[in-house]
Amino acid sequence: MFLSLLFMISTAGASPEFSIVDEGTPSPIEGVVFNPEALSEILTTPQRVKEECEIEWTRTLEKKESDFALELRQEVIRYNSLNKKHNTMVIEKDTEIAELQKIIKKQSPAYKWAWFAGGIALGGATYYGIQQTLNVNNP
Amino acid sequence: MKQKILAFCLKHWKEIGFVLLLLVVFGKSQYDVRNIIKAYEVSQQSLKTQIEELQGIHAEELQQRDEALEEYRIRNEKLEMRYQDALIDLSNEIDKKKDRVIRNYREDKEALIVQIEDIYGFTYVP
Repeated sequence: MFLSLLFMISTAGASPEFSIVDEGTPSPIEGVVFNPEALSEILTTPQRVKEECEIEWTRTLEKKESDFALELRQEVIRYNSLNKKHNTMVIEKDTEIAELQKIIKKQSPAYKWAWFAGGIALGGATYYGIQQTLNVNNP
Repeated sequence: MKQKILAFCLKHWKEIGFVLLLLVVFGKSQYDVRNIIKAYEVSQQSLKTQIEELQGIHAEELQQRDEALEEYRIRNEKLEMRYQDALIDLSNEIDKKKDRVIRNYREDKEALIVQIEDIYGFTYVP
């Protein structure tokens, strides 16, 4: 707004000009006159806008950095927790499997086919012996 | 007596054998049941231990998450305070510059002219 006013100072379309005039004195150029307070506002506005912008984007960047730092930390916490859970499950399952294997080994000892064959042979021999005994006692 | 027992055993050897077989089968089934119960107890104990340890890990994770959130909140509060302080500092600085412009208008017009020329590149007309 103020820039457009300043650009309107020169109606000839030449280079922009300005002048300082005291109250009541004629101006060497045509245009808009600002009092010192308005002039101070106009002269400080570019710096104010620039620095406000710097402050704002610095704040935005730091906020984003903080957000990402939190997100990263939460992911690391989650990863560590899952890792611990996984290791714990593996250890516990290994222990459980070892215990169950011990029990299964008791149920099915080694050389079970030899035991089976031995049982049949022993049973057959017993049967045969008893039969022989009966034949001897009752010819 | 022995002869009678032997004669009885020989006469009823099949029944005696059947009873003995039943005893063996019963004993074996008891042994199997005990093993099954033991396997169940092992699995149960393992699951209990897993649940306890997982609960512990979960509680630890929640605590760490809370700590992270608390740090995030404190960090953002400090950030916001720095932002507000920066705005206040800028406002004070701008006020001082405005006062300087007004002072220059009254005391040092040459400096004011140079300042306008520097900022906007306008040409001064006396």
